[in-house]
Amino acid sequence: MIVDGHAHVGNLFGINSDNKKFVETMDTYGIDKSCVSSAEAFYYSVEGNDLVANLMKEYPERIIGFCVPNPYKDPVKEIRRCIENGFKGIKLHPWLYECPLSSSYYIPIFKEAEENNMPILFHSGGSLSMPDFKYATPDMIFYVAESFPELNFIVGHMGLERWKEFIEKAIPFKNIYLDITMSMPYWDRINMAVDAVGAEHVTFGTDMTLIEPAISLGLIENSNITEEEKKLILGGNILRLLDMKEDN
Amino acid sequence: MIDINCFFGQFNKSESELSKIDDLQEMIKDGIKKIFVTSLKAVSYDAKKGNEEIIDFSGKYRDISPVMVFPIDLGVVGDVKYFLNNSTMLCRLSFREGNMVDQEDKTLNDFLKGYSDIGKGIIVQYSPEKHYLIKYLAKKYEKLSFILTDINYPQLRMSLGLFQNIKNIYMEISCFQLYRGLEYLIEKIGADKLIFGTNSPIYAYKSAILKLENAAISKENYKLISEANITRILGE
Repeated sequence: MIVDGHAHVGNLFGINSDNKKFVETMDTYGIDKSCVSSAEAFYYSVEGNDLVANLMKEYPERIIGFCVPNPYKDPVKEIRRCIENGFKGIKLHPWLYECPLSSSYYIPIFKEAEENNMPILFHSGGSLSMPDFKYATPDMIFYVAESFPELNFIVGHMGLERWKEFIEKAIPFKNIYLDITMSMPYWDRINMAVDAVGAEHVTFGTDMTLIEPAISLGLIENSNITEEEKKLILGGNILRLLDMKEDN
Repeated sequence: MIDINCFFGQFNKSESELSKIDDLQEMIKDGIKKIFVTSLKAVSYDAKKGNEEIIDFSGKYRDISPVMVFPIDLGVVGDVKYFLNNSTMLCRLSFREGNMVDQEDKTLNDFLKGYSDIGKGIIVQYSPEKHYLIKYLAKKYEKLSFILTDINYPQLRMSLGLFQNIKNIYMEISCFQLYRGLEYLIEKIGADKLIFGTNSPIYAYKSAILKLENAAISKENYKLISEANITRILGE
């Protein structure tokens, strides 16, 4: 089973997607389920999360909702609303909020997530055209992972251009997972990540509808990992983090 | 599929080889029928030796063709004739990161003038700093096809006009990773301007193959991008 641990719907940097095309793309690439957060929700939390809720209603077997709370605007209330709608995880984007991951604004979010066993997926770095790490540096990530040892953190994009540093530093943390999504499919990235942190701590994602799923899938196909390790990365790990089984 | 953007060997003297013949054979087994290979040594520290090695190496394999590197800013070109005498149908202009040359640079122009009579295509890594240089050279040496690499969505926004307005400028697609990106590129600049490449072994070549194979494009456009355009450029 292939579970995409990092996907978006909505208008992402000017690129639009609709629900039908989204699921058609999943079918094209053999993706069974997708963990989806809304691109709109980075700016308009409630409206954006509702887009995901609609997608979940339309394709309940295929879509796992990730709630995007705004750290400045009553985030706990929005997380609780999302939980009522069946959301299973949380997506944060410190760079877009200009709110560093180590900021106290996130503490209520982390506490709520911990209480509800929701993993936190967060964007690391800036963007391809504007690399910027001041909102999610490796040190901040390790600080929050240490402060909330029961909460699972998924490092979106594995640290982008600083992926080697993230891999090395993530080794001692049992609650840090590395998401492989990136538009630069460096051939040796999966092998290095698995060697360092173990396949149990690496999760598959596509970042569609920003990036074509071929990029991440090709990276997995070109890696030297075992079939068992592939199964973990392609779906086993994220399902475990979400406390889900293949058939639910 | 024909891959025009593949590398071979090692980046630095101290590093082990990034790719070996086994990797290239694996690519051929996975459906790439011809690979144009550039020496990593030639682009990074020793153009002459790297070129010699890649020409010698590729001569042993039917499916592998060499891409000679012309190292415009390494300061070691010296003998332009040497590079022209050893040039291949597809060449690569190599610039060290951050280093630029003037559009009237004598060495560069001597090479391109000579190469226009014997070569067909020239690969250039796109960057915004080189935008006007590429535009100038493509207009001046219109017999040559300029194939630009390293273009993702942000770079496309800057370079779009080059593809739309200059007939001998093409785009190699291995770095363009946008969702439904090939459909987007066909709409913006046309399938007859797009050329398949993998950027292997820096990038996983399977990503490039899956991207092309799963694109919602017509058979005609698939054929153009996967091999017909480069075959036409090289006059094969």
